[in-house]
Amino acid sequence: MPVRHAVKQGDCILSIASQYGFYDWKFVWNHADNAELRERRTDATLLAAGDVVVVPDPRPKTLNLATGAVHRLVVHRTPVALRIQFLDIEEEPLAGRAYELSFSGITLDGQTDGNGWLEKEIPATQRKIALILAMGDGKPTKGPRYEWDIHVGHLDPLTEPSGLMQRLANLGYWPADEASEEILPYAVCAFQADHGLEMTGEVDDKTKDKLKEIHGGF
Amino acid sequence: MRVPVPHGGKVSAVLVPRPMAFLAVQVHFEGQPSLGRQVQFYKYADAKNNKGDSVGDVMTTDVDGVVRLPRLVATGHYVCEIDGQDHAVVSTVDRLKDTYPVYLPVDAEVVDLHAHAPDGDTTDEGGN
Repeated sequence: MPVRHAVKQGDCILSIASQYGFYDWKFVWNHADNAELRERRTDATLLAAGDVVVVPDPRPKTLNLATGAVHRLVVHRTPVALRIQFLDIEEEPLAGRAYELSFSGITLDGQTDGNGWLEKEIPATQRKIALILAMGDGKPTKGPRYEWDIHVGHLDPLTEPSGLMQRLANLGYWPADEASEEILPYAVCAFQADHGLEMTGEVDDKTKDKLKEIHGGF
Repeated sequence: MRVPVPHGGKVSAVLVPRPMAFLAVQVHFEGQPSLGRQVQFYKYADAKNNKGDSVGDVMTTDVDGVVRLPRLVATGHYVCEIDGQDHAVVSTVDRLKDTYPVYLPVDAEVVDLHAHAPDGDTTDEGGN
């Protein structure tokens, strides 16, 4: 009997599929009963709290294996890569900066490439990552640095006010001490002014398109 | 910061460390908030209070003597021109409800009522 899973903050199709024992999230996403959801949420990784995902019955794979022997079974899982671009306030790449990612007792380090990109494989189920980026040429843990707590799978769709606020915050258009929706017109105006759009404070289609273009493909 | 779950070769996010804040002042004259003052903000050009490019349009102070630029700006110092005459260097504020106080006339000496009286001063109101 399929399960109707009510999405809560932090859920995504990968975590939901994994929770119900599916390695391939597409099997869940492409289920016929999720057709309406697929139409509404064009990106499988961007679900909003309140969405409902229909999780089909699992279809266990049957293997015929001889007793008295050791069998090696390999599960093919697609690794996921975190891809983040760092830009300065002039929107120029923060190139060649050392960074450090920490999660679940693991620390991964590296350096942004010439275009300010960080690309690192992470476990598909990892939800919270601490990120440090060096401001200058030194190590990220010594001297001036930027620090972020990255909440993976917590980005809401752009059609939701929360999704809009989260993207503006990622792009730096949000004061650190404020969380109220009252700030939105001020942040939208700043974004519009910096990107040659009419400064209305309204989230029109042009503003959404530009935000999508600058923030990334989601 | 919130990013979607990575999948395929898609971009997770673009992060920009861009400290932003509000540009809002409360203009006072003779100890009271001053209504109807014309305020124009400019970028802060140098330490001699010279103004740079204008920021936003001319705005008029409300009954509380407040004007607030309707957008976030980069955190820092700006020049505030009042009624086309007085220039004050002001700082951005971190919260929407906050304002930076400006007292007119800008160059007037501020009397600090709480300053320590010099030795030998006998103007203590509480004295006999």
